[in-house]
Amino acid sequence: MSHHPHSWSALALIPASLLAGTPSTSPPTSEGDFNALYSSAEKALQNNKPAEALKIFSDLEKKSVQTPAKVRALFLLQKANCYYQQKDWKSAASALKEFLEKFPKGTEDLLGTNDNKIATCQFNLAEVYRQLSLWESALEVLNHLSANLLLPPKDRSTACRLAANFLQEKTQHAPTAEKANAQRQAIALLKKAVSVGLNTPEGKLAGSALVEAYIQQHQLPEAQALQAEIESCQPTVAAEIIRINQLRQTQGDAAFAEARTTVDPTAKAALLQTALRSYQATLPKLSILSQIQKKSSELKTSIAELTRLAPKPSPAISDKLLALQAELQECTSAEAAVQQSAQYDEGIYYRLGLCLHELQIPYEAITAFQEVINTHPLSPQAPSAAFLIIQNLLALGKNREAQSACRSFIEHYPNANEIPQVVIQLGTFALDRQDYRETLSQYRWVKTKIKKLPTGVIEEIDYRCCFATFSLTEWKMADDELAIFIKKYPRSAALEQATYLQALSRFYQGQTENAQQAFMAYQARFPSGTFLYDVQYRLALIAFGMVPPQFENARLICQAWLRNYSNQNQSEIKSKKADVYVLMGDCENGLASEMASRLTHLQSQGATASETTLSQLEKEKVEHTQRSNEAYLNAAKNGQSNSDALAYALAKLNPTLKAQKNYAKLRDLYLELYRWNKKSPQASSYLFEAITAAEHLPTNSQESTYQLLIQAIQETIDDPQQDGAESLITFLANKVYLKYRNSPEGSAQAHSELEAALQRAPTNDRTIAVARLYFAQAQLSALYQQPDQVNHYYQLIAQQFPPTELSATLLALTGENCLTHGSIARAETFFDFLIQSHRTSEYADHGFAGLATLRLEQKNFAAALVLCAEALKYNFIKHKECSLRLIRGQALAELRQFTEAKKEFEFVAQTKAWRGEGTARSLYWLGLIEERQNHTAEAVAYYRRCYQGWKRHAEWSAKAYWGTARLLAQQLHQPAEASSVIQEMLSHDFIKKTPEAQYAENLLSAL
Amino acid sequence: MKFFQCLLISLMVAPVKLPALTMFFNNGEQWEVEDPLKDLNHLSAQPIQPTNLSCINYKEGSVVKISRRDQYEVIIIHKFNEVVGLIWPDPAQFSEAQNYIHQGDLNRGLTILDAMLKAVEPWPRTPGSWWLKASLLKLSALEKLQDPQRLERIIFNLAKHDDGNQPTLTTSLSIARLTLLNCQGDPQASLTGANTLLPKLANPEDIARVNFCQGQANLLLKNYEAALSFFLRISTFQGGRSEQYAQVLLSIARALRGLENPAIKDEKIRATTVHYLHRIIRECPLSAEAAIAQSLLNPEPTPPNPIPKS
Repeated sequence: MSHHPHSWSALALIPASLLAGTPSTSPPTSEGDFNALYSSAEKALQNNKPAEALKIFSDLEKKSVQTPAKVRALFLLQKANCYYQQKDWKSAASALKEFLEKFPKGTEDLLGTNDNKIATCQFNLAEVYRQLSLWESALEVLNHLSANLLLPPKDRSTACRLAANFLQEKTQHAPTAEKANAQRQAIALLKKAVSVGLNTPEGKLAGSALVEAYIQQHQLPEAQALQAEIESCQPTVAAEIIRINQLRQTQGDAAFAEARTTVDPTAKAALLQTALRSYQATLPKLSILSQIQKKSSELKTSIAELTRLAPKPSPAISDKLLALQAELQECTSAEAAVQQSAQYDEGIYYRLGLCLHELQIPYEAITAFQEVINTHPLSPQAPSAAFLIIQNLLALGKNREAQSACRSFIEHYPNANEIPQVVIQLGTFALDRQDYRETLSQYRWVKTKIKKLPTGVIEEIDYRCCFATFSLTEWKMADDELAIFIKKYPRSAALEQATYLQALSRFYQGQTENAQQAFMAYQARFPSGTFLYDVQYRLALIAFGMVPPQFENARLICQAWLRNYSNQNQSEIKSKKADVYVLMGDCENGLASEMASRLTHLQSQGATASETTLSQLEKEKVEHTQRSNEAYLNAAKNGQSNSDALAYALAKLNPTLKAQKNYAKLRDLYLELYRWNKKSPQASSYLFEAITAAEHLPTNSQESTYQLLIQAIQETIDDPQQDGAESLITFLANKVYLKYRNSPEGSAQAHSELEAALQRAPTNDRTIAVARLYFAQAQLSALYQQPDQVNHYYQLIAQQFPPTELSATLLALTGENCLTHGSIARAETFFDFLIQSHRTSEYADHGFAGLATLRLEQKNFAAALVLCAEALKYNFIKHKECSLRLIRGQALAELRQFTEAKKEFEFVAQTKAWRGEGTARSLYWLGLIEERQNHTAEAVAYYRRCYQGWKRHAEWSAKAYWGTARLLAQQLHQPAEASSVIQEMLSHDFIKKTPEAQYAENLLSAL
Repeated sequence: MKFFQCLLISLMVAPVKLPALTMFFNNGEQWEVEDPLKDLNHLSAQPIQPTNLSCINYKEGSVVKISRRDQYEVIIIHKFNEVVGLIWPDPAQFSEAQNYIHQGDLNRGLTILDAMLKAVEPWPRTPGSWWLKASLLKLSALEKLQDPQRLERIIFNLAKHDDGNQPTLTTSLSIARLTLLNCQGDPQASLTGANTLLPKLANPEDIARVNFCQGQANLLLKNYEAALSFFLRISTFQGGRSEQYAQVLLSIARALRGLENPAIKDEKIRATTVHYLHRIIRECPLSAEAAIAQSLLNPEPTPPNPIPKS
């Protein structure tokens, strides 16, 4: 029953002293007797003995005939109270009706000037009617109350709310139409109830009920708006805090459920967002408890303060105290209820995760589901949460983490419904990565962990294991496992694949006859099989591989293959076409060799063979050779998706066509390959080959190829994302340099030609093209060994172009040029932009190395270390690993972390791929580290290794010489040795220009 | 003509009427007073004498009521410290400052707040005063501005009023100190402070603000994974309810960018980063972060240079 202020408990608190002075002529005659009887009846009621209390009140009623009406009204009301407590609804209804009829003024001023208990009686009568399911009577009473303008607004609001409740309860099991009608009426009543204001307790209760009604009627915007309004009024009681919270969750659930059934994507997204916001607004358990505890604390303080100020409280203050204590009790109960609800938070987090998952916001979905698992690992929703984490990790492409999550799922939730999917997924990661050993390992682990899997899953796993074994080229094992699989699952969906793989495994074992039989068995069993095209090809290969080889048979099979499959567009068949052509080429080659052998044999035997026979053989040999070349050409032209066949065909064609001096064909072939995809990494190499072939052709043909190179550059020069443009430009610069190398005005002519070749129309607004023109000029100047010009062009790039306009290559090279020539600020800008915006570029490591070098020069060793650490940690080491390690070593040495520094330098010194200046620098620094630790002999040893092995790196060998001389003279007191070292040092002209040479000279003069 | 002249004259001499605020004094009196927040320009000027409202004299530190009876003028003065309660109408400047701060015009917002604080600073702890709200908004704006000197100054000034009886102020100051440590380049200390503060908090909004500081500290330390996890907690459990939502989304994009490297091109990080930038523009279109996101998505091309002759 929904509570209201006119409750029976208010009556029970009325003390007997209010009855003092009430005259009575029938026994008990004294006031004291009346009071005593009334008190005992009150006590009986309080002790839950309504029967006893009823007897006393009935007695009092009989004996109080002469008493004032208001007293008799009170006794009747108390009797109704007793009937109510006994749940004797009929008697309670009868008593209440009698009260209302016989005592129109109620208890008058007996229980307070403003309350004659008539409204209380009416409310309770409505409740009794409800208990008796006399709905119409109950609603009539409440309607009368709600229309009574003499009642305070809060009572009228309560009447409306109760009427709405009764309507809903009445039609709970009614047909849908009647229910909907009742719901609409209830909403109208609740709106009236809410009009008293949401900042009153009655208004809030009505508001909450109205929100629920809106939700049930799918009027979500209205529900949300009203909810927001309720929430803007601070909750005053603990129950409200919980109720509001519960409402948010209910709203969220309603919106989510509706979203699930909505088809329109926009509407669905909007509903999911509504649900998400509702769940995000729902307070977690800790916050609710905090609010309730804060409330409790305030109440305790108020109670203590009131008690202190009024040790003998007046009735009004007593009432207030009782109300506060009741509220405190409610807070305590609410706190206990919340504490006991173990799955409260977990439910919210899970719902949040579902919304985010449906909205395809994977990072946040993972966070929400992870919270479920972290805080409630044993909850029933934890397996679902874990499964959805896997799904979202897959959506993000985080396959390694998804794999770990799958494994963890299997360990923790072996009986979950999602196990079959997770088990299959676990091996899929390794399978997709082509890590077949790991695939096998994962599936074997799964079988040890999960004893009971569905048959379909086991079959899938078995097939995958067979496939993995096959892919590991364990042919014998694969053959045996596939035989077991085929026998165990004769109706499997993977039977065709298994049969095909088994035949292949025999093929790869070199069991020619077994393989042939197996392939032919496949052809017979699966005449429209998916792998038929490959089976036919294999049969041709088998024929080719026979001893002696059956070239003609193989050739015929290849021709049949081309007739059957040449027009099909599936990618795997198109790819196989190149292989077939290659095989045909080999067959024709083989047949040509056979002809040649026969010719040689006939000629060497000196047998008298006719001219006709010999010329016929010769002719056939030439024909076979030509057909072989044609086949290889076709193989190359069809090799766009078959790089192996393409490479093989090119390897055959290159020497053959060059030997035949058929450069035009070679050029045309490479041009065709280039035109497949001008932006592919191989495109530039094809273009180079075409140009190289064209160089053997007459001049006009060369020119057209040269023009092609320029055209290729012009097609990519405007696109900052095309890193290949710089490679083509460098190649062009080389060509131009070679063209004018021997000319007296070579440099000027070369520069002019380059500029003319790359010149853009003046109205062209693509700035990267201009920067690349400067780059081209810089490359040409480098070939002409003009360092000042090189610097000039890079300076033009640096001054005229902001980093946002340049490609990664230009950023890296321009930054390095600026660094070398002291434009520190500019260099820093370029490097910084490079690592911020081109992190996936191959030149990103230049940025890290450049910035780290700058920090080193600025003596900000810690910052240099941070940059090196980031670069090494995240693999920015394509070109600059050596530099980064050297910088790191130097920074560590400067920070006196000698052990770590030494490791870096030793690593660099030992790496053969970096032999050169890096080795010299490392050896020098190793010496310096020893010197700084006063290990003089070790220092000298390192220095000697440096200048003896790497003299030509003047910067470091000079330092090493100087270090040795200094230590010999000052630490080891060997002036003669020191002089000898200095003299050797100064004997090298390239070392004389270094600052260390000057120091050495000064020392020499002092010795 | 004469009527219009009289009207003009009456308009010129008529006193300026300003809306009222209600002040309660310790002797039980209750006065209607000219609301200084309605016209901040009059703050430093001499109080205008109204007909029936009292007025505040900031220079003297008092509230003055002048009542006229016949030919007599009765002046009653209450000192500022005699005010025990206020009913202060919502000032438009507060919302205006909030809007400017949200849109990224922090300096303009701070200017308005400084003027507001000047009006309310005599009553920092009086019930009904706007001092606390305005101060907390200013604190929040300075945290966004990331100016360590100004932030340190305001923390110092506000701490003087923190007697432990205003939990909102205490918590906000604790969180602001974490932000200050980040601004001063000591993210490690900020993280240590956050770990100490978190167990004392129960309000989800406060926890989210601390998480934000932790995320920023980890960004400074280039611990991108850890930073991402803190920011994601806010966007997951608070979403658009967080005041820092736009900043959170931008920080997620920055953390993702930090994670990008050639070894993990397959993980669609670049696409996810772009997705977050678009989310900022879509969900927080008026915020300063939306402009930053737009610039990150579409860097403006510079005007073309003429092709030089080499």
